[in-house]
Amino acid sequence: MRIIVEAKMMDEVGLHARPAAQFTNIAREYKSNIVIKKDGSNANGKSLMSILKLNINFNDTILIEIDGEDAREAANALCSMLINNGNEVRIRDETS
Amino acid sequence: MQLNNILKGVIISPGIGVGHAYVLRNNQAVDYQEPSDTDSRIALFNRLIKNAMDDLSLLQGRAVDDETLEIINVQQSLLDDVEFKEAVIRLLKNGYKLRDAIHNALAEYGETLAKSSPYFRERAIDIQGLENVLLGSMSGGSVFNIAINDAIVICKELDPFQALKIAFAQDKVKGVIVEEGGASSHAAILLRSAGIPTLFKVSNITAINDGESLVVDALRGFVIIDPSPDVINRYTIYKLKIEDIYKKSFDARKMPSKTIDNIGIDIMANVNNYADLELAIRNDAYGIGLLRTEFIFMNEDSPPSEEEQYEVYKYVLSRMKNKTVIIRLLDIGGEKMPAYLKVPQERNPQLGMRGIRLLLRQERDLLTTQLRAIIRASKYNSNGAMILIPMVVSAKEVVEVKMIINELLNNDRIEHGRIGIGAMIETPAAALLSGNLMRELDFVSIGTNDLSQYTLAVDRESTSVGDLYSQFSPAVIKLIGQVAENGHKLNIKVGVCGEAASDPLMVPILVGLGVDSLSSEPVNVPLIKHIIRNIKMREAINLAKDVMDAPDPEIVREESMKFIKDHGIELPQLAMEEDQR
Repeated sequence: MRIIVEAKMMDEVGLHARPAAQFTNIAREYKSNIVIKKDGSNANGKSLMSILKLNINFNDTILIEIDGEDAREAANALCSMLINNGNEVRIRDETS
Repeated sequence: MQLNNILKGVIISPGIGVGHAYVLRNNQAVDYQEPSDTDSRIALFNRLIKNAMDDLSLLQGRAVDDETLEIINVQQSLLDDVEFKEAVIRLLKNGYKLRDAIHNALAEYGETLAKSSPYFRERAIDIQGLENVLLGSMSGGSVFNIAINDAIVICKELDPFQALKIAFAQDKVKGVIVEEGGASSHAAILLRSAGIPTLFKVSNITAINDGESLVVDALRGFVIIDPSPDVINRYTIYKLKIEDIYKKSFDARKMPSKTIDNIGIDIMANVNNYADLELAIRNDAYGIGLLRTEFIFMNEDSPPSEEEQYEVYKYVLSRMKNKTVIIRLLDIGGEKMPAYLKVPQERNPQLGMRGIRLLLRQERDLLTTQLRAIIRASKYNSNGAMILIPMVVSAKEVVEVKMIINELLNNDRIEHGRIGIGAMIETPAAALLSGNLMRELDFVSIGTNDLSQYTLAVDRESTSVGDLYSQFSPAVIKLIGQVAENGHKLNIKVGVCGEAASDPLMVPILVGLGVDSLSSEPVNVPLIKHIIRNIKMREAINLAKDVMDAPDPEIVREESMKFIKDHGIELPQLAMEEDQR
């Protein structure tokens, strides 16, 4: 299944290294392919270096595409991590 | 104190360190044999990653605070990064040597980050640092092997791995001095958590010899090279007392900033760079009372673009969230001029083309660009942005700047937050006209350094009459009192942002004169709050009245010293300064 999550960064320094590292640690627990999209650029959600390259700042909106058999579980875990860090999150699209 | 041996830096972690130089030299080649074939190179690469991960696990076992643990976690994630490892292996398969493969793979990430926003730019060092971790002899291993017990560690740039090891060698490291260094770098965070006195941005410090005697004064922001036995003695004696007072006031930083009789005085911070911003946030400053924007304009051959400025203001405003941020328009003139500004050579630049004069008469484009960038960024703080006009001598200057601001607000359809407009009161003219100026303004801020210089007609650097310069002068105090009185009458907030606001002995006088806020050096914010909490407004008012009639500044200073002592406020650094006089 494929889930697209939209997240707005409300943390004043954006998705910076420490939360981004948390993100990859969670992402790597799942088989699903996880891609972060911002302004036409993509990052591998399981690679911290790749995420840092996207330069995700305060007030930026990103899309997280989660594709695979455990997409539901991965989306839940990633969303709760992002919400815990004070960001706004919503499910944009879901296809099975 | 010999002044020629002093190097300035920015305070990263406050405190005092007395010890000997221990210079870290990076990028020394590690003793490894470059394997001849691709497969053994890949095997060695995997082994190096594993060793470094093992070292990090050992460090993790010793970490006590969350920030340190999180940073270790970042280092682990970077080392164990799928894309990075794939990139290196791809390069190795293309015939690259291991050193080059690692270098090239990291360089690509580093270069992208270097073009990012200020915060992400500082992550570039984390990534470059991996090269040292994997290939350098310095970073490898989990223990910082250091031969002396009172090391002042010196280096050009500090990666998080090195900083971790230094942080865990606290008993042997008395201070850290870094030539470059980013204020919100992970290294800075680690040294702050470890409480090691640290200065960054100290030019040319790595040229020093190993073993040279040093004092790191990370309360006032300088290094003393080869101090006299007398200076070492004083610092050694006062170190514990001073650090104790700073620590106590730091622990009480969240307490309300009110006098004993319950009058609130806001303690804000002056910010010159990102290090100050970090310290201001850590010390729980009420806001930024003075963002000196010169740092954005200084290092380049051409002025910063609107976008570059916008990024900086956006970053500062959003970091401060709902706290006040007062941004001073570019204030240069006289001594420190970037090459792109062509200013006529004048006989007396202090009385010439500087501050708002320069912006209005010669650099209108620069002024408009700066204003646009600030206005655009203002939506990132729930209080908006406060704009401060420097070197004002007449209401006309204020009106002219307001016209440009209003044009931008009306015509440009820029999305923006609240905009407040204020003026620096730093000339006798502005102080005398403060009532008129206030009718055009939302707030004013008194700059005591220039106000003292212009009121007393003294250049403080003058070798013949510099001693006449003093913010304790009754003339300066009277002018400040007049401005505060006008502020009360017209319901306009009056702040003080000069050196006086960081000087514990000026604080009771300024409070007694009726100013609403003080903007001090970030490191002193908790200390100034501590003083406020221990004085009575009623008595401060009397003190202020009394000193206006004092015959000379020295007596004003003594009166204030007596006041501080009578209130049982312990300020050991005063004793130290007294000692030096």
